[in-house]
Amino acid sequence: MKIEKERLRRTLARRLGVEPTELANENVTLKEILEISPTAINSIDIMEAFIGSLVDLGAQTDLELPAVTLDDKLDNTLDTIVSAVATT
Amino acid sequence: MRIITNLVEEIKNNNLSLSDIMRIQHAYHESRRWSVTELLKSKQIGTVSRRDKAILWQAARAEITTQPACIRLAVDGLKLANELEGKNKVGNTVAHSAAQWSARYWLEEEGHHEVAYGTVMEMAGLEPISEEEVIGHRGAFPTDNFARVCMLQACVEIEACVAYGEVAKTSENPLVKQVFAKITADESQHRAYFISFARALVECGAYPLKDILSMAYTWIRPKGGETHGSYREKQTKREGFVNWWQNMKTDAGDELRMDDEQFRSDRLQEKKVRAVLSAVEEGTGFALKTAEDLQKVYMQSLAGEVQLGDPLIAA
Repeated sequence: MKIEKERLRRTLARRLGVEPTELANENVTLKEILEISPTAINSIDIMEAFIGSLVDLGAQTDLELPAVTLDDKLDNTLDTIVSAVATT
Repeated sequence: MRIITNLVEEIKNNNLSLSDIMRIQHAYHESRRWSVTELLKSKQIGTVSRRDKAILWQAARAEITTQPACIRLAVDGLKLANELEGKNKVGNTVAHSAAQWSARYWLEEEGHHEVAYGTVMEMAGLEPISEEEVIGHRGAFPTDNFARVCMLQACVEIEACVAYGEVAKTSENPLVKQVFAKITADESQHRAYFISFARALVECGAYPLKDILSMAYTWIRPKGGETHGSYREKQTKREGFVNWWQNMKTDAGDELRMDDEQFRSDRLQEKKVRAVLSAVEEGTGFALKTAEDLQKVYMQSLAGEVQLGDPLIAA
């Protein structure tokens, strides 16, 4: 399955209640996103926003989700997830 | 004497009031109390193995962190109860039940554990924990969605049960064995309480089903799950509250290192995964076999495809 990175970014922004432009900086970390999101409390909400976005975009439920930390950059995380989805 | 595992049903169908629940919690607490002072009075510890010393060092520190967690759950439970007042009567009673149990019984019982492990650790010849270190382990416990926190605590109690239970089973020192067995039994009943609160908070509609599933998934997800603790390849740097399972001594040259066989062997990891899946079943009714099954149901819950009480989808 193929998911476009920018579409995933936009879906993620919607789930986190932020503007897509706020997620456009390639150096932004997940911790920084947590600070600007009005809805996310902690890393679980960030994880859920990613997984929920994949659900919204029709990803399979058996895909192997990568382990990420709040110190990771969004851009790298999106790349990793897009690659993981591509293997399903 | 019992733990009420079906709070919502008891409140709705049997008209159990908050006072009734408190009396049941209190009676169970009284029936299970044991005295650390009496247990350790006039006891000689004898020879303590390196491995037993290592887990005593670890457990004595882990138990210090329970105090801020107990206080946080008591405060946040009460806050939630106030938010639900007038909007969700059953949820209000459930939240008060969780808050009162955290404030009165959980906090007190964890105090026993801190004193017991700290004392036995010193009897075994290890240095007392400095005041600075004690205070360092009292960092504020973060606030979160209350159903998730209850599930988180159920998972933490499972980690403790598995690690402590292993010592109770394998230690050759009678006193160490006895203390670990006592505390394992306490942690096991704490686990049951947390699952009952999480289940009730979802059943009464205060939180969605996904909140039980997300925390269980966070705990046992392959590779990155919390249960892999300090063994994970990647771990978020934290400040404030100490997650004890992320701070274990594991360096080969360290005399107080925890061996894999004590905490992270394949056998023990499988045991923890089974216990978390069993907690999910108690909390949601979904009987799952693997972490992958849990991921599938969690994703289905995010899509709104499963509800509490649904017959289980093919896993």
